[in-house]
Amino acid sequence: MVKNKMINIFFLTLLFWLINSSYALSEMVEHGNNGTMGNHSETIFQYSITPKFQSRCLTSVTSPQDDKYLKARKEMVAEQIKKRGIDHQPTLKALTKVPRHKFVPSDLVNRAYYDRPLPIGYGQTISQPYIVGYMTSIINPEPDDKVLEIGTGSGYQAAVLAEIVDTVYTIEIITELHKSSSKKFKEVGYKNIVSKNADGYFGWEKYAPFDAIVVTAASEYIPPPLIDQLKDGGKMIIPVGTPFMTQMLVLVEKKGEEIFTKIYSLYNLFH
Amino acid sequence: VIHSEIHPLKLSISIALLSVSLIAYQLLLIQILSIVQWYHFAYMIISVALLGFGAAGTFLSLFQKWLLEKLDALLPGLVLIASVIMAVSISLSQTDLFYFDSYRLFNDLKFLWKLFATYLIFLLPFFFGALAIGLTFTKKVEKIGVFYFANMVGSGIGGIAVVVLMWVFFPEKLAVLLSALVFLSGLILIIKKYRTAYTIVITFVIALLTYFYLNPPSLKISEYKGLSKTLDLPGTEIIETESSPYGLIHLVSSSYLRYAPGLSLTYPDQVLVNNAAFNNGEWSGPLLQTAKDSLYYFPFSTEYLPYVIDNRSSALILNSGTGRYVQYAVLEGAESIRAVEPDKTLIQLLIKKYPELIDSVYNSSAVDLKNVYPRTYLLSAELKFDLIQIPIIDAFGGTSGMYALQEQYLLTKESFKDMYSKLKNDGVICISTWIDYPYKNPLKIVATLAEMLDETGIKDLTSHITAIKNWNTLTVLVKKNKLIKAELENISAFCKEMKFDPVIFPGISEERKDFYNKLQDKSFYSYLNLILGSQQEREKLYSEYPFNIRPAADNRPYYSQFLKWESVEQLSESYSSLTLAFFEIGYVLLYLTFFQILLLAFILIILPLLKIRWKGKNKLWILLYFSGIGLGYIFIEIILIQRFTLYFGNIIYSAAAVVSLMLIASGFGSLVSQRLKPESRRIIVIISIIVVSVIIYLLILSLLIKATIVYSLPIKIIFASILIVPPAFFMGMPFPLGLRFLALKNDSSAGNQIPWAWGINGIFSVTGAVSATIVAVEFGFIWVMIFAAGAYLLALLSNLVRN
Repeated sequence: MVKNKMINIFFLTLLFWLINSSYALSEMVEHGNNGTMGNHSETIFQYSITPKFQSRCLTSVTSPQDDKYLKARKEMVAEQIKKRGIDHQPTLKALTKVPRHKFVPSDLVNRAYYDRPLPIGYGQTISQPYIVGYMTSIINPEPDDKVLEIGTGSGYQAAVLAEIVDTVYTIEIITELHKSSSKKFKEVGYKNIVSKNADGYFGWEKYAPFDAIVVTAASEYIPPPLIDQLKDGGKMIIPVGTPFMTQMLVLVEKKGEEIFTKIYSLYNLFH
Repeated sequence: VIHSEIHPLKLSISIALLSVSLIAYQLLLIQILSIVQWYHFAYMIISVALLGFGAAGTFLSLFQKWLLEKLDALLPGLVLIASVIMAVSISLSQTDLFYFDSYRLFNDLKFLWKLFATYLIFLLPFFFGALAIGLTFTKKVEKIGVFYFANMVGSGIGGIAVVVLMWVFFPEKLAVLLSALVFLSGLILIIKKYRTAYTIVITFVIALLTYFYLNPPSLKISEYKGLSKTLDLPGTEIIETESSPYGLIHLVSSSYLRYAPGLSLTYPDQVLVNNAAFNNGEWSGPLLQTAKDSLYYFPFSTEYLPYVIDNRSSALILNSGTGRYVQYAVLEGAESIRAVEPDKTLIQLLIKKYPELIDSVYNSSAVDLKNVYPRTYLLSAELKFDLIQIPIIDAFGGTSGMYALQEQYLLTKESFKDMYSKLKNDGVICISTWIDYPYKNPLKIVATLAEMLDETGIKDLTSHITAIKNWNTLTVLVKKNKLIKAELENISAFCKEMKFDPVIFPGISEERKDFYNKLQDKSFYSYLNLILGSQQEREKLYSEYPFNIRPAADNRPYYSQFLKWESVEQLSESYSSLTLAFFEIGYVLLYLTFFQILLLAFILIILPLLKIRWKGKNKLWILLYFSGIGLGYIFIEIILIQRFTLYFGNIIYSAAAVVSLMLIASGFGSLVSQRLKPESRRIIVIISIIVVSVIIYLLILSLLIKATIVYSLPIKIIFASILIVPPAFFMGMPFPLGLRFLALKNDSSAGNQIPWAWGINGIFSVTGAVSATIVAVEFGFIWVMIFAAGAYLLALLSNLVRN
C-alpha cells in the first residue's frame, strides 16, 4: 500500500513536469512555425447592422490562422463541453463561435483552448471553457433576454452570452480590466455588450430588471441589490472556488417573494 | 603546509558572526516566503540551507589543495561574496526573472524553473559562508574545537537574535543588516598584505549594502492573496504596516470591502466594512464599527445561532483577532468576555494606535484580553463559559490547500476536549465553516466534534449537536447538556425566518434539510448521518471517502490536509490532472519540492564526487552510517520544531529555539568528542544513548509538552532546553567521530572516503528536512520519531556488523 502510494506520488509529480514541458514545447514549436501569434492575427471582421442577431453575431473572413482556431474551438466544444454532458444548443453554438484566443493575454494565446483557466492578471483568471459553458447553460438564456454580468474580467463570458441574448450589461471594478475588455469587445465587434467600470455590488439599476445575472466575481454573500434587480422567475448564477479551480456553481432563483438557492456540484465526483 | 597569517581570535570572531548571520538568514527566508507566498516553503528553506553546506563540503574536498594554498587571500573574499549575495538575494528573488507564484507553478513551466532558480540564489550565501567555515576548519585542524565552538554558539545566537530583530526591522531590511554582519566578519579577516587589493572590493560592498538598505525591495505579495486583490480595488489604502515574528500586518481601508459569513438572503441592507486587517497578505478579519452600521447584519447570520437559544453572559473568544466575535458578544449583552489572541502586534495596534477602528472593544470593561495561545489558555483557564467561539474555518471558496502543511492545533480532537471541559452546563461551542465541494471542511469538523463527544462518553450525539446552513456556510453548535425542546423550537423559528436549513436537528425530515438552500449532491446529508452514527460507520466513511476527513489530532494536526493519494486516479477522471494540484497546492508542492531538492542535491553534492571515484573498503558501512546519522539528526530536528510549535505557538519561535539549542548542544558534543578515541565501541554506546533518548521522546514528549505548556515563555525555554540539550549533545558526536575514524585508518583511500562520507551525510540531511514533513503529514509525528530512531539504529547496526 505504501509502495503504491509512493508510485502514485512519483508519477503524479512526473506528470506535472511532463505536461508542463509539453506545453512549453508546443509553444516553442508554434512560435517557431508562425513567428507571430495572438495580437497579430489577421482576422478581418465584417459588421452588419440588421437583422437584430447579426448585429452581434459576426461573420468573418477567415485566415488560415483562424481556421486553426476554429478547429481548436470545435474540438474544445466536442471534448470539453459536450462530453461532460452539456447539450444546450445555444451555448454550444456560442462557444464554437466566440474567438476565445482573443480574450486571453497575448503570451497565452496558444493555450486559449486548453481545458483549464488561464491567468489574466490582478489575481483573476479567464474561466475554464467548461465552467463558462455550464454557467451559460444553467441560466438557459433566451434571445430576448437582458443579462447582467458582475465582473467582466477577460470579457469572454460576456461575449458568449452576447452570442445568445439581446443585450449583455457587464460591470468591472478593476479599471485596467474594464479598459482591456472594452477594447476587446470593440475589436471583435460586439455591439450588444454594454460595460461600465463600477462596483458590481449595486448592480445596474438603470437597466433593471434582468432575466439573468451572472456573478463571475467571487461573492461570499449575495448582494441584496442584485436580488432586487432580478426579474420574478429570473436566475442568478455564481461560481465558487479558488483562482484556478471552480468547485461549484450556486444558482439563485427568485419565485415571487421566495428565494431559493441550489448548489451545482460541477463534476458529480463520486456517483 | 603554508602558514596562515590570520589571527586565530579574528578567525573565531569571524566564524561566530558569519554563523549568526547564516542561521538568522535561514529563518528570515522562511518568514519572507510566508509573506510573499505561503507557509509551505519553510521546510524547503531548511533543505536549501543544508544543501548550501553540503555543496560547499563537496567543493572543498575537490579543490582543497588550491583553496588552502590561497587561504589568506581567498577567505575574506568568500565571506564578502556571501555578504553581497545575501544583500541582493531578496531583491533578486522579487524580480521577474526569479519571482514565482505558487498558483502559477502548475500552469506554466517557466514558474517551475523560477522556483528552481530561487533555490539557487538562496543557497549561494550558505554555500560561500559554509565554504569559508569549512576552509578554516580544514586549515586550522589543530584548533578545530575552538572554531567549531564559535560556529555552533554563533548559530545558536543567530536563531534567537533574528526573532528579536524581527520585532524591530521589516524583513526586507533585515536581510541587508544580516549581510552587513557577514561583511564585518569578512572585513576582519583581511590581513595587511591584501588590504590595498581589497580596498576597491570593500568600497563596492559598502556602497552596495548602503544602497540596498536605503532601497529595500518591496516584497511582491502573490497576486492571488487577499491583500493584493484588495489593493487592486479603487481607492484602497494601507493605513498601517507592522512587522513582527508573527508576520506582516497590514491595516487596510477600502470602500469596497464586504464580509458577512452566513448572511441570510432576507437581509435587506448593505454590510459596510470600511477597514480590514491582513496578516502575511491573507485576510485576518474585518475592523467593524457600530457607527458605520457594520454590525447590524449579525442577527441575520447563521453565526447568530448561539444567541438564538439563550443569553450568553460569559463568552470565551479564541483567536479573537480583529475582535469581530467580541463585538457580537458585547452587542448581545455578555457581561464577561475573555478574548484570547496570541498576535501581540495586532493587539497593540487595535488597543493603542487604532482603537476607534473597532469601537475600542478590546478596551471595554466587559472584555478581558489574554495575549496567549488558545491551547495554552484552555489548559490554564479555571473559568467556565456559556459560549466558546472559534473563528470561521478556511476562506470562502477554499484556499487550494495552501495551508495543508500548517499545523492547526486549535482544531484537533484534544483541543475540542479541552474546550468542552470549560463549558458551563448550558454552555455551547460554536464554530462555522464554509461549505466546500467536494465536501471536506464541514464533514471533518462535524466528525471531530462527534468523536470528541463520543470519547467524552456521550452516546446520543444528536441531542448535543445541531447545525444550520445557508447557501455557503454551515454553523455547528455543541451543547454540554442536552438541547431542550424550547431551544430547538427557537432554532426552528430562526431558520424559517432567515430561510436557513437545519441539517443536524432531531427529527428533521430530509426534505427540510434541503429546502431553501438545495444541494445537487445530496450525499452531504447521508455523510453527516454516518458521522453522527456509530464509530464503525465513521471509520468506514473515513476509509472509503476520497478525501481525508478523519479528525485532526495533536499527533497529526494538519487540519487542512484532505487529499488522499489513492483517490488521485478517481479524481483524475473528473478533473484534469493539472487541476488536481489546485485541490491541495501545499501538499503537492511538498512532493514537488522533495524531488527538485533531491535532484539538486545529487547534482551539487554527489555528481562532483564521481570525479574522484569512490575507492577503498567499508563502502557499505560509510553509506549506512553517514546516511543514518544524517537522516536521524534532521528528522529529530524537524519533529522537535513541529512539536514545539504547539508549545511556543509559532513556527518562527519554535524553529529559533529548537535550531539554536540543538546546534549549541551538538557543538559542545562535538567539542567533547575530540577527546574520545574514534572507536566502534564508543560510537555504539553514543548512538545507543541517542536511540534511547528518541524512544523516551516517543513516550513522554507529548505529556511533558501538555504538562508545561501553561508556564511563561522563559520557563518554557528552560523546559525546552532540558528536553533538547541532552540528546542533541550526543547527536553532535557521531559525525566527527566517524570522520576521524576514517581519517585515522591506515588506508590510503581515506582522503577519498571522507568527501564521500560528507557527501552522503549531506544528501540525506538535505532531503531529510522535506521527507520528515512528508512522514508527519502522511503518518503522524510518532512515525517521524520511529523513523529517526530507525535511522540511528541503522547507523548502530552498521557498526555492530563492521565489528
